[in-house]
Amino acid sequence: MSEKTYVEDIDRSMYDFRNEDKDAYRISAGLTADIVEQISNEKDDPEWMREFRLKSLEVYNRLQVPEWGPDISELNIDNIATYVTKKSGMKESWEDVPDEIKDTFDKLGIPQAERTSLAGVGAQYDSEMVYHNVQKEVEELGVVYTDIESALKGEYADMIKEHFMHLVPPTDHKFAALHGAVWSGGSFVYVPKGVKLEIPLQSYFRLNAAGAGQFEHTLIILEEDSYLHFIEGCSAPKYNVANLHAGCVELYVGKNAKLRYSTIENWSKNMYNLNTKRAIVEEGGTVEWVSGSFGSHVSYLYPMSILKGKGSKMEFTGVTFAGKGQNLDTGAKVVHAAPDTSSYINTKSISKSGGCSTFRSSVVINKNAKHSKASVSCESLMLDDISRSDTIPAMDIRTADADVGHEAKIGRISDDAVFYLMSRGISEENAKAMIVSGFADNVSKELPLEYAMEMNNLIKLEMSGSIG
Amino acid sequence: MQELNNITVNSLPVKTWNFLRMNESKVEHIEVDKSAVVSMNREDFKGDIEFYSNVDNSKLADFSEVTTGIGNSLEDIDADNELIVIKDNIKADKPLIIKYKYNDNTKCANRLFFVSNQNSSLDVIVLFEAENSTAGVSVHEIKSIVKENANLNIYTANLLADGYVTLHNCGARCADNATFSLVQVITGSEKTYYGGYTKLEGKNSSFLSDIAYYANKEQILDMNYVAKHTGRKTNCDMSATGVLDDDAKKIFRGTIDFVKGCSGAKGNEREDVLLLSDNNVNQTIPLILCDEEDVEGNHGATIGKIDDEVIFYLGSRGISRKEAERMMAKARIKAVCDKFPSDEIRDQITTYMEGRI
Repeated sequence: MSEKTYVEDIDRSMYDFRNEDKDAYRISAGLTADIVEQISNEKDDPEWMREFRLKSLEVYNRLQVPEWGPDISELNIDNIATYVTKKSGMKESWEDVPDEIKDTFDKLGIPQAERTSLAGVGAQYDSEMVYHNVQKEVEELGVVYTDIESALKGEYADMIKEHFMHLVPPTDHKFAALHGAVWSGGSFVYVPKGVKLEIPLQSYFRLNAAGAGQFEHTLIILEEDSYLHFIEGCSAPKYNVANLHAGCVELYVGKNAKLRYSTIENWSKNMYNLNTKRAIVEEGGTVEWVSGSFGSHVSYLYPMSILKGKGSKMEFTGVTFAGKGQNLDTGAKVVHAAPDTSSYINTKSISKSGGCSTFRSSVVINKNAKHSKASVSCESLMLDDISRSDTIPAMDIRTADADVGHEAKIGRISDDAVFYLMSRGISEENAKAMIVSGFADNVSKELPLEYAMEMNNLIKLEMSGSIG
Repeated sequence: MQELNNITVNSLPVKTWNFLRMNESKVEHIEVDKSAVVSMNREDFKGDIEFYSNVDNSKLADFSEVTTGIGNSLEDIDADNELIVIKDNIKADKPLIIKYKYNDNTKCANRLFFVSNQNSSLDVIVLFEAENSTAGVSVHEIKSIVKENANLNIYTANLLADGYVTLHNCGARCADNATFSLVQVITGSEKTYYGGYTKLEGKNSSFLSDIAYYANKEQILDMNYVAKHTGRKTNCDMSATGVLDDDAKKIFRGTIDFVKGCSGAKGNEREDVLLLSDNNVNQTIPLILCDEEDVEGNHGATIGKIDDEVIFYLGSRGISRKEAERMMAKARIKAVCDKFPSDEIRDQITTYMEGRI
């Protein structure tokens, strides 16, 4: 009897270690004005931020949970502690970071990555940044890479106030409002005019506590003619209770600037990942999103790009792997709001072991966006008959002077492709392994080598036997 | 006079972001006061097809499992029901032509129910015409049950004046080896809602749709088509081509739904839209829902204006941009018109479209 192709679940053991919560300050579970005030007090917020948090809470209470998308009825905010910290403070040297936390990031390979391939690193543990450092040469170029809370009170306070949650207002949706109320931690990056950072910066977010939420805010501002590659990584150990991630990323890409924003998301399978990412791109600017979604129990993740300036561009490359117990609803949104803009969305989804992946997108071309071009391509691979894969792309075109193309495919491993490879002397087993591995290539080839290797390790697709 | 207020129509099988306003549409108000006068060439099918007029709803229980594209919001409207039963093994060699006459700005509703029995084959043309009529309401539903090895091909053309509010709705169930096809020429009216929903329940059953649409002025065109694959080795091929001009707004929803157990199923969907005006709003949302491993699904869409090189070429032959656009628009509609199995009807549609474009 022939054996059906079997693809292993992602091996999560390297991410699935945990530390005890002892010595941690943990706010009461739930969401009330008192809790929001407590967080604000802990952080010694400026008055405008305290008011902003409370107004966001009002918006949160007013808005409904989305009626589209995966079921999140089992997520009960009354059981989530929105703020947990070891109170170790933020350090500029790994030596000064408490051993337990340092050990966590050592296991994840972050300090080593900093030494070998990064211009700067930020590390967040639960609700607070514990480490932030940037190479001296990079700092001398005028690049700012710091935790956002220091920036909120320092010389960049006005800049933060001007940009914080302006791209993603709390009224955007219920979990943006939640973020506005209880946000904590995250990074601030400022790249001055003309500075091109050849080596990436990376922030890594680790949620260790059970039944907790992480709400980091990432704000990046690129001035004219600058370049940055920013890498974001995230992981958590698995618990039997729900964890919540409702981060927010706001990216301001200046005239002729280029920002590449790469994410390898590997939250544990008890995580509700309700994250919001948005970029606004000025004339001639480019934003490139590279996104790998592997973890979480439920994900709602659709990075959005607003092409505001003439000739601005957006490219989104993503791969989503939904395994057992996962319902990952991912995709991208783009608004063409100026002439000569272009967008390209290219995604791959893999579903197996009962996992459900949904590709969801929207392309909006406004009336003034003459000579704009948009292309959407999504492919889905079903690896067994107990999984599910949906494709929901929307296009709203409001000018005749635009060129829009869309294509989508769904299916299983092609017998023809296997036959072709076998006719070249490759065994059936290897042929299938090659096809599945190659399917996710669109993302791995866009990442720096070290991260592509990490991603390939993460997938660890193991094939055996042949399709019956 | 019957009235419906604030009804929901053309709902997507799976919702997406509300801000896009694509999940469903609302019809604020429609009034219907009678059924339209219907004529058909019954005499051509004596002994082969049974026709029953004004059929009581209680005799249409078999159709309760037929789902429609617009949805069940029209069910409360009383209308003349025509039940048409094609007998076993009948292969009709000429089309059944059903014409509705809308006169004097009437507001009418009618329903057709088809049962295509085993091994039968029939082409049906449904035509909506208006005389002395510039505005009104046209509500029409077609529900079909296509049994084993049967073939039912429905062709509809809307030749009503552009002041009409139109809700034309279809639904079909297909048994083993059955084929249901829907060819539609949709010309925009003030507000136009079209829906089609085909359940491919039997092994090797097929749904083929070919839709051409044209909307101009301030017309609203709202469509929702679904192919639901539940049977093994089922096949659907959905194609839509359209032209928008002036201030017309259009939404096309197309869904291929692979339900668990439909192994070997294939689904293809394609939409090509030609935009002739900067004031057009074109919304397109093609869905593939997949709960089965062994399937192949594809969809594609292209949206834009006529290629500049084509305009330049035609310009070099003395044809103005406006004339070139008219030519291209007519060609798109004509490609679907030409599939109608009647020279007379083809000519009638072509003449009508000449006046509209």
